[in-house]
This record gives sequence, structure tokens and C-alpha cells, in this order.
Amino acid sequence: MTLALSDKQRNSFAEISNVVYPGGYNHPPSSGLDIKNAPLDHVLRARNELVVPLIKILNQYVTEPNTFLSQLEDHDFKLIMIIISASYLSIPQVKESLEYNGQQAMSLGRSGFGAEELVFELMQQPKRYRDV
Amino acid sequence: MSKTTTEILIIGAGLSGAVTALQLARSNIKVTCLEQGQWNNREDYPGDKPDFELLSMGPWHANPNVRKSPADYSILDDTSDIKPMLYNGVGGSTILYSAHWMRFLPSDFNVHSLDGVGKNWPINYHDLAPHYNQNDIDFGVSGIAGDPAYPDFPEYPMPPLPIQPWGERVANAHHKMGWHWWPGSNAIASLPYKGRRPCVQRSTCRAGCNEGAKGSVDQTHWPEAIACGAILKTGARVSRILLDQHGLACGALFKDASGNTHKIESEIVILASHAIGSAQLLLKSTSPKFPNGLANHSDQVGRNLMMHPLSRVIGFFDEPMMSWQGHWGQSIYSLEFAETRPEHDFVRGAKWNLSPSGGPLSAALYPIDESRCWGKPLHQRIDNWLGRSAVWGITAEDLPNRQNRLVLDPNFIDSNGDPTVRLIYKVSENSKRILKFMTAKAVQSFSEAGAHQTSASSLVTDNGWHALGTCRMGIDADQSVVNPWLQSHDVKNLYIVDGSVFVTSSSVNPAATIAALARRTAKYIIKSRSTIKRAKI
Ligand SMILES: Cc1cc2nc3c(=O)[nH]c(=O)nc-3n(C[C@H](O)[C@H](O)[C@H](O)COP(=O)(O)OP(=O)(O)OC[C@H]3O[C@@H](n4cnc5c(N)ncnc54)[C@H](O)[C@@H]3O)c2cc1C
Ligand code: SF4
Repeated sequence: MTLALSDKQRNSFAEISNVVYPGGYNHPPSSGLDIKNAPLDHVLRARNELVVPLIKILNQYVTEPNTFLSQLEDHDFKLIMIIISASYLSIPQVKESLEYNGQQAMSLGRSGFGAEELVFELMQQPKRYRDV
Repeated sequence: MSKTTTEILIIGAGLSGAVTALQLARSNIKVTCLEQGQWNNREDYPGDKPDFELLSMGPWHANPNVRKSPADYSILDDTSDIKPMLYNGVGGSTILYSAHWMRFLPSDFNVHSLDGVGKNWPINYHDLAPHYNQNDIDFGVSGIAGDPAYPDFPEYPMPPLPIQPWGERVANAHHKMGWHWWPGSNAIASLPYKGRRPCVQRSTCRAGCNEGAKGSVDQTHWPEAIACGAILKTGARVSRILLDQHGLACGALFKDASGNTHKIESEIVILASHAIGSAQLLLKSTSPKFPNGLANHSDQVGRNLMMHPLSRVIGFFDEPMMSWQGHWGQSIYSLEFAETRPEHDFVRGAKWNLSPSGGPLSAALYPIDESRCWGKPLHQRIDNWLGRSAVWGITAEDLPNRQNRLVLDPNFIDSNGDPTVRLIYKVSENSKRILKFMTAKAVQSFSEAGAHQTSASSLVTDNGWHALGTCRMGIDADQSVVNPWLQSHDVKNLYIVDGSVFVTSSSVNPAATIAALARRTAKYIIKSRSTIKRAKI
């Protein structure tokens, strides 16, 4: 299913992605990351139901990506932004630049929950609920 | 058509169904529960997979119209300001809930007497207190007792989860301003607890907990209920509740996953199908005696839908705090503005809860305003957001309005050939004022805590996870659907134990109160077992 995208559609995807993520704030530009192949396939494999709507959107693409993005219907804009962003953010160089390595399991510290002294002060305050 | 019998039939294996089933099964009552969805394997939840965020925006989305799993039923929501969020499967919406575990405030039961709005509940905080206390143990709640916003109650079974660096900042700020705050109470294990592992702070609670640390009822209640003899049939979607010639509920028709219809007969029927599912089922269960829907002589079934309008304020800080980690439950909460005050231009108020802000995909896509963002501003947004922000979620108390309701729409026919449920819901002027005021205050809270920037969305539409009120409780049978024991006024052996029975919504999260009400009704049924009305089957 993910292979259903033509070269033309993949190139359109790359052109649009390159203006969405031109690089900045230490994040690499999409243009150097081959986003239209493995990263895009990865996303479409995880979310197969997005292939058909993506193709429909890409088939409307003619030339200028900024104009194209600003003229998309809300729903289509959201959808292409999910696919471009998920593709871009799945790339190892990007993750590295973000210092983000996924949602990690961490053990709970045993040194208390934080701000304990304030909680103990609050406990001494008069009750503030309205009883009836 | 196959036929089975049971003493008590429960429809729905979510929060309220599980609490009820466990109490009844512990008392050796023969219970069968029909659940339209399936069991989940913890390993299948996306939280520990690299594509967690992407999957939680699709097949694990909380909106059934987006998720579209075989267990889901469609809900027409284009006439609702807020979209429905729920989960259909063993555990119900607790599979996806954030597990904020909050009791109602005493005043929440008396808003009409105190503030002249809504209706009073026919029960009060003290009626529910013993059930809140016991459920804290059954669900394994972590927190610390002593919050001056509440009457005294026993210590939680586990200490609070860490309030996180962002929680400490905001706590200090509130302390300085004299504003209420308290460490979050969450149905999440902070220690090994009754076979559950402690939370690993992966922050993926909204798509199921891989660790089993979160108190979803497939973990906390169903295994014991089944061990005590309760029967739980999955893939069983009830299409009608049946009525006998004496006007008593005598069972239900249901379809299995292959579409075959079956009949189950029972002496007592308990609806636990969520505020949308239960009202839908009653409206569909018409008969000559109840042409407008079962138990609906009052015309209150489906009305008074409350959805807890929500706004969010995000605070951006300079220091890295890894704020994509941490339980998605609340790190701290504030009830500073939960009560009516004479100086406000609204009545009642809101509950605030502070949470982490998600991973990079949330940073890139989260709707913070109407504008479209790409290019350099998008990089800036991610840089600002990821790991260095926190979110105040602000839940406004929603007041009952009979025009806010769910109906069956005959223009849209579902796979059973039945009309589809439609939500008709408008956010009230009072709620809009509450949210406007609260967002300004939350900006102040973050600024005082040292945030260099904030961003506020005044109404989040994708947040209908607290649907309530569609079969409300009351003394007057002409104005309500169930009595204070959650027994139908019209059909004496029919009980409704889910969030639909709420009279008003409070501003706090509803799960603890739904569970307390369900437990109280189960105890009532057990106590009056020999005298309560039953159908002869
Ligand atoms: C994303 C999310 C986050 C939330 N976070 C919180 C929170 O932090 N704190 C809090 O207090 N609350 C929270 N909630 C709300 C809370 O989970 C619900 O209020 C609560 O679970 C409702 O309980 P219930 O028993 O009414 O319904 P549910 O728990 O939804 O269970 C209803 C069950 O009935 C089944 N059912 C429905 N119709 C039929 C039928 N016809 N036949 C057979 N089975 C049927 C459904 O499949 C479902 O399993 C959250 C909800 C969501 C979705
Ligand atoms: S943060 Fe804790 S409760 Fe939430 S999913 Fe992870 S382990 Fe479970």
C-alpha cells in the first residue's frame, strides 16, 4: 500500500516538506533528509489509512508550496501537516537535534514528591470549602 | 437466536459497570456483563512504541469518530460545540483516561441552594464519602490527604507522584500569590500496589498504560469480579432492553461480533454504558408503554447533556525540564476559582490541572490558535515547546440545560438499521465567561512562575471526555429519570449507574464520583436483595 505513491507524488511531498521544515533553531532542513522515501513510508506503514487522502492532496499540488499550503482546506492542511511532521520528526538526525529519544521509562525517585514544606504549611490553613 | 439467563445483567464493562459487578460478585450474586468491545493486551498499547504520538492521533484517538474501531458506534457531532471522547472495550473510558482522581466538593451537590442555578442533588458529599474512601483503595490512588479545599478524609493508599519541576515552579508561585494548589491525586500507582507496577512516567496514559500502573478497571476490578464468578461477555452489543408485561426490564437483545442476535433474560438490569451509550439505548428501547424511549415518561432521557468545556494555557519556560515525560495525570491542581464569588460575572467556576506538554509531534501540531504555522516559525515553536513547557487544563463547571441533549437521528441509519445518536450541544454564556476569566488567571499563574511566554486557547473542542447528565437523578419522577439509588422511576428493576445520572457537573473530573455512586447503588442492591423488584424469568 505505501508503495502506491508515484515518483511525482513523492517529489511533491518533498517540495512541500522543504518549506514546512526549512531548518532553524538547530534543527536540520528537511531538504537534506530524503524525507520522501523511508521516513514517509514509515509513517504510512504505521497509519495506512492516510495513504489515500494523502495521494488526493498531493494530486492537487501544482507549483508553489507556500501558496498551496495556505489554500488547502482545514482538514487537508491538518492531515498533510501530521504526515510531514511525523515523517520529519522520526528521522534520527532530527531527534538528535531535539535531544529527544522518545517517551522513556524512568524509575520514580524516592526522595519525596516535591514542595513538601509548602504542602505542610497549606495543611495548617483553615478549611476553605463551603459546607451546606 | 440463543437464550441465556442471569440474575443481574450489567450493560457495559467500563468504570461504573466494573465497580458494580465487583461489589455484586463479591456478594455471590450471579452477574453477567455484556460489553460491545474487547479486552486489550497491555503490550499492544502504543505508549512504549516509537510512533506513540502518531498512533494516538489515529487508531488510539479518544474520539470514536476518528478511531473508528469495530467496537465503536458512530456519534453525529456536527451539531455539538464539543466532540465526544470515550472508549469502548473492557475498561471503558478508563483505558484512555488520565486518571485524575477528584472528589466532588461539598458545595457541588447544592448549587441551586447556594448559587441559584442548576438543581440540587438529592444526596450530598457525606452520603458518598464512605464510597470515595473505599474506592481510593480499590483503584489504588496516589496523593496526599489534608487539602483544605475538602473535608478531612483518610490518607490515600500511596504517596503522591512527583509534582515535577514545572509543578514546583507553579506551586511556589501560587504560594506567593496565596492561591490554592495541591499535589495531584491520581488513580496511578506510585509504589508497587496489589500486583500493579509503579508508574514509569512515560506520559502515555491517554493511549493505555503499558505498565498497568494506571487504575483502569480492566486491571483493578474485572479480574477479581471474574474470579468471584461474574461473567463478562465481550463483543456483545446490546440493541434493546426488553420489558415484560408488568413493565419490568427482563433482559436484553444483543449482537455478537458476527452480527448474530442473542437474547439474555435477567431479573434486574443495570445500565452502565456511558452517558451517551445509556441514553442512546433507552431511546432505542421503545415499546407501546414507552413510545419515547424506555424509562422516559419524564422526557428527561438524553437531555441536560453536560460536557465540561475546557481551555488550555501553555507556559513556556527557559530551562529544559523534559516536560514530555511525567504522568499525564495531574502533577498539581488548583481549586482557587472553583466556587462562586460575588465579584465574578459568572456563577460557579473551574478546576485547573497541571500536566506535561507532550512530545515533538504535539509541539508541532497542537492547535494553539487559528493561524497556520510552518517554516521558521514552526521550528521556533518546537524549540520553545519541547521539554520546556507545561499545560494548565481548565475545566469549567457545566450547568444543565434541557436543550443540550442527545437524540436519535432517523436520517442516519447505523449498521443495526437503527437511527444514529446525535449530540446537540452549545457552550453556554456562563461557561464562556468562566473560561475567559480563567485563561487570564492561568496566564498570571505561569508568569508568576517564571514563564517567559504563554499561549491560551479559550475553548478546546476536542475534549468531550466528561459527558454527563443525560439520565439525571432526582426525587421528582416528572423531572428526573432515576431516584437517589439510581433506580428508574418508571421501571422499578432498572438501574443506571454511569455518568448519565449526574444532576450537575461540578468542575472536577467525574470518575471518582461515578465510581462512588455505582458502589453505593451496588451496596443498596445487595442490602435489599430479598425485597427489591425483580422480573420473573
Ligand atoms: C481521554 C479521556 C480522558 C479522561 N480523563 C479523565 C480523568 O483524568 N479523570 C476523570 O475523572 N475522568 C476522566 N475521563 C472520563 C472518565 O473516563 C469517564 O467519565 C468514565 O469512564 C465514564 O464511566 P462510565 O461507566 O459512565 O462509561 P465508560 O467507562 O465509558 O464505560 C461504558 C462501557 O459501556 C460499553 N457500552 C456502551 N454501549 C453498549 C452497548 N449498547 N452494549 C454493550 N456495551 C456497551 C462501552 O463499550 C464501554 O466499555 C476521561 C475520559 C477520556 C475518554
Ligand atoms: S505515565 Fe505512568 S500511568 Fe501513565 S502510562 Fe506511563 S506508567 Fe502508566
